[in-house]
Amino acid sequence: MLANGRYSEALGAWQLALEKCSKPTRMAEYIALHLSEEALKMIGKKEVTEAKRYVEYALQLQPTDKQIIARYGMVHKAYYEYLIGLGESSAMLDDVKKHLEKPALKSLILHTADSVSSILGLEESLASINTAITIKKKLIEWDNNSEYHATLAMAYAELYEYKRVRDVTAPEIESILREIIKYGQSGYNGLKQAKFGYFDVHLTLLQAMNATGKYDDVQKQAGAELGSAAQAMSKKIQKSYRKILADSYAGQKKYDLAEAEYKTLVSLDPSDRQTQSSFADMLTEAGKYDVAKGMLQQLLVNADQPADYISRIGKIELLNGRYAEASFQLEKAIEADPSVSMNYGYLAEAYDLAGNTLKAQDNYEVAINYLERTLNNVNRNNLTATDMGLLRSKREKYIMAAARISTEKGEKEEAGVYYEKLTQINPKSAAAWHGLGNVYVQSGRIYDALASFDKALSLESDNKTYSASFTNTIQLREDALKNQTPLAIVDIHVKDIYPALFKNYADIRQLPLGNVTLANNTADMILPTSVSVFIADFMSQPTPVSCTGINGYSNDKLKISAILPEKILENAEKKSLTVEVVISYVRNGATETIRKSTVFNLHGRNAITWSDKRLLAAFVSPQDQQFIAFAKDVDAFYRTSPSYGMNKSILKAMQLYTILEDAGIAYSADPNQSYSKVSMHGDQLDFLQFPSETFQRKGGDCDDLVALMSSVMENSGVPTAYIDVPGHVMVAFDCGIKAADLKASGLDNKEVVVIGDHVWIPVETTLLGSKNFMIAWKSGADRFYEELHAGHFPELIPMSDAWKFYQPSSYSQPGFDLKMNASKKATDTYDALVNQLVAKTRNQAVVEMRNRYNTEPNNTYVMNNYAMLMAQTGNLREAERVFLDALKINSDDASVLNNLGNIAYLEGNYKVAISYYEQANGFDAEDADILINLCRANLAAGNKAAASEWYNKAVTLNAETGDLYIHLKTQLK
Amino acid sequence: MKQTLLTLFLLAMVQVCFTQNDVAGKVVYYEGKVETGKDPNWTRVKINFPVKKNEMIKTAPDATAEIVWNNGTKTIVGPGSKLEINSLLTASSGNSKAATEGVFGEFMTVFKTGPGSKRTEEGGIRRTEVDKKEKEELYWKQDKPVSFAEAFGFYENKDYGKAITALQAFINQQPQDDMSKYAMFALGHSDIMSNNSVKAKEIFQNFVLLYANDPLKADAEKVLALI
Repeated sequence: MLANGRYSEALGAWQLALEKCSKPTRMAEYIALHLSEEALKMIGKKEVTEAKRYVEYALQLQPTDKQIIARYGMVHKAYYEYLIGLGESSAMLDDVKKHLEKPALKSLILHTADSVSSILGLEESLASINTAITIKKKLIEWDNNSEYHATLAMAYAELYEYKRVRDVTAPEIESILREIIKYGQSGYNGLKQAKFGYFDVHLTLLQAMNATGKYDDVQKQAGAELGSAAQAMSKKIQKSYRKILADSYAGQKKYDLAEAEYKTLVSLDPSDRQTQSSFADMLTEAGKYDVAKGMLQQLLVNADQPADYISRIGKIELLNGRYAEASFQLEKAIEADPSVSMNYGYLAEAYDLAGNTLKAQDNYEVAINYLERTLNNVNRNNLTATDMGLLRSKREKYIMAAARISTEKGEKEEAGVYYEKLTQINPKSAAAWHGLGNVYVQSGRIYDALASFDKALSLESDNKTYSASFTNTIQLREDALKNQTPLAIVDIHVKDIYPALFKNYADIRQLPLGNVTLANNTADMILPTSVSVFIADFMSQPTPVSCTGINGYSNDKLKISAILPEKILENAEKKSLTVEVVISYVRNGATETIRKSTVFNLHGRNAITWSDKRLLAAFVSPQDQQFIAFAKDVDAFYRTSPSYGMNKSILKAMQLYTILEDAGIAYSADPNQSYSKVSMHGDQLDFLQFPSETFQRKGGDCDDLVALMSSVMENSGVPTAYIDVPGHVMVAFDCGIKAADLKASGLDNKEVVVIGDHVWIPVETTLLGSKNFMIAWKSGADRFYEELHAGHFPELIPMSDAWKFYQPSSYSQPGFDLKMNASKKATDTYDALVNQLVAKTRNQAVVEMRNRYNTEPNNTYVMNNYAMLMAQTGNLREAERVFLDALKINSDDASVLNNLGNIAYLEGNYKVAISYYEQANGFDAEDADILINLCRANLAAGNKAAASEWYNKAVTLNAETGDLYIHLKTQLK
Repeated sequence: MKQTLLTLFLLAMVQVCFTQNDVAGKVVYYEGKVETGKDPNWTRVKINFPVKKNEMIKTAPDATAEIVWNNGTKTIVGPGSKLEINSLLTASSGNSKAATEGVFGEFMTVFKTGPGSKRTEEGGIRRTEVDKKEKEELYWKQDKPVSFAEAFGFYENKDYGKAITALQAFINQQPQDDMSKYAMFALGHSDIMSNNSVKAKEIFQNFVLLYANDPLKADAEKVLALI
């Protein structure tokens, strides 16, 4: 029974045997030992609730046996871990509480609970750490033991580490540090007095004291420990004490003393690169640039990841005023690892200070984009409040520098954007308002300029430069009033146009084509009677644009749109076009018309920039007729492949990936324009293929393959998303499993990305052509979590969300016909993948479902699902037992009756099967599939006439059944 | 002989009149196993099956029935019910709806600003075409998993008939889910809105017992006092 997983029955049998024999001592000893041993094995199989029942019974039989008590503790540890995994920490505490009155078990169980909560506290999750703290506080309430004080201090230290990097308020951090110091001090005192190991808690305490600036106390305590207990310390502990001591000296800017500690540290372990690296940082902070640089250069030799050392050398050169050398080193660092975005900022500074404004501008833009993204990302998880402050000030500094360079180069539009941004993030920057005013003057926007200079003067009223700018602009306004028309078009700005977005330009709210800056040189509001936009080369008629009134003495802006035809997608190369804006208005009873033209760029259909990552969605159409037909062909191709009841979305993704692979689609990087390089520069052009083009060309870059995979899946009905990480993009799909059902589905948290109630499966599409779907899945998940832990904020963008901003379009080369010509290999590969998936998920799902069954033994929904899984994994006896139990609770359950019929069918008892199916049909006469089971059972029992009758009834009830069970119809003939 | 026949005819007429007076309404819609009668004599209902005042109605855990009373009002009987027809008829006046309106308005406000603000839509395969593949394996029957979002969606859209079935299914399937209490509260309200304050009373009584320490308990007690 045990071998078949029939744990309850087995335990019942042992109990019965003992009762029947009146519990003879030797037999009770043997059974107790055996059951406790079995309980340990069950933990390995994750059958923890059963294991607990076994070991509890074992202890009941032998309450003083030390081996059984030890096993009791081990099983309870697993049980508590299981409860914590379910989020049932209160259930765990209830169980612990039951042991408080049992002297033989109290200490064991309290320590077990403490150990479980300590492990929980190490998880990088706020809920887990808080739960650990709650448990430990409860343990202290029940037993005021120094050990629990010590572990509570360490749990608070985990909370500190968690919060510290999440931009929380200083008071919150200080309160956490106070708790560490409070419990750390009592834990340390108690453990030291009891002569228990106390170094870990003491080190935690000293770190907290360092963080609160209690440097003198730290030096006193650390010095005392190093003086009195150094012999008892391991080398690692000794190093930790010295490192804390060095940090406290550096905190007081006593760099010589810190340097001395570091030298001792290095001498203790000359191979410790981490210590040398920290030493170099300390030296840089102390202004000893050349020594620090020399140390980093030594570390660079044989370094696994040289980019970090090179960039630090570059930063030292920057601090040291050697700008050309700094730019050289930072370029090398970026070449080694383009994803470290802060290096672009340092590089920009180096170029700027070296006078190379062209390169400086380019790198400032990347750095600003990165900083914006970091500062606006709610998921940032590796930045302290101080870091955030530094980043904000860096962003301001870089924007100001970029605005200055743009102004110097005469790029009015760009300079205006930078200054406007600057005035938004820091409205108290008079310099920004003045810069903006200057740009407005250059653009002819004298009314806007006056407002900006006025703002600058309101912030710095004594500034003579600002005052002069204001006076000069007043003069310009006087000239305009005399010489210009009442309403004038000052400027037309049309952005570069991307054909893939052609539908979006028709709607001002979605994506304006550009804007027109007007000057109302009168005191009255002017309401234009018509505004139209016309591009002669592509449009057959002008697009009318709605307009509100233009305020008196203003430079109001007007957004413009254009209805562009689909043929724009045929444009393959970049070209210059002219757009004309015509505005009519009535002045003094007469209609006046003004017009102005400007030249803009139309890109080729594959052009895109990554200024907004959602733009990728414009290349993926969920209603692409060729891909819909392709999806149907794939369905038909895999019609007869077994699915073993696996998740439909995962199977569909597996099929499509395999078919694409079979079609010869493979990853091929474009060395000159790879996504990894281009995506870091928001305004740099990338070449993104439409899915049909990638299919036709048999490959593409990571973004091309994401668009293709997403397209085939969306057109197969599977919602997709893409995951953007620095320099890379991957596809993901919604597998339709609810987050709460993840474990019951046999999937692990680390294999998926859970957002809200949705479970997304990431797939590394660049492995197309080299690795199968399961590996691409694992690789995608690994990459996501690596990036997450590295603090690179991987973002998952559901395609449906992106489409709300960018309407998709689809394009195929004339004459291209998307055909699916799969080989037998595609079937074999897929079948093997399905088997892998079954092996991977089903065992885990059985365990999860069994645990749920044990927790909710009377839930017929759970019973039915659990028993189904048991039956599908070959354990028909256990399945039948659970189904019959379910039937006792609800004798009318059509699902249970049908499934009992299946058990009988699988065992060849066709008459019994028929009886169950008929009962099931009696309770659910609307389910045609039960009738098909009846047909199948009658056919197997040799009753062809009855089988035909049931088949016909099924088809009458649901016409689609006929298509689904063609093979049965054939057998009925 | 003639007199005997006349007596028999009169007796039959009395019986018919008595039976017709006893009919309170009819079942106009049902799903699953629905029976009327008394222990141990139960009869499966069909469409337009008459329901009598002195009998009971019983629905299986996945069944539901809709009764139209002689006065034209409707009552929905949700899954897993066993209720007296007469009580249902008395409760069909709908007085409880107006009486409890304030409590449920408050419930929705609390829900929308609390757990309801975090709900998301369901994902997974959208097109039914994808499921249309030939099946060669045995059919294992499984109750469709019902998510809270789906069940609560019916309730929010005031589709109380569907809400009763879906909310009850969610509670049965996920009794330990954090959202189960909201589902139960909404289920009770759906019953009230379906003129079934008899079942609603049962539900709110259970709610008070199950969620004795929950802030919603006070609201449940308010409802019980009003229906």
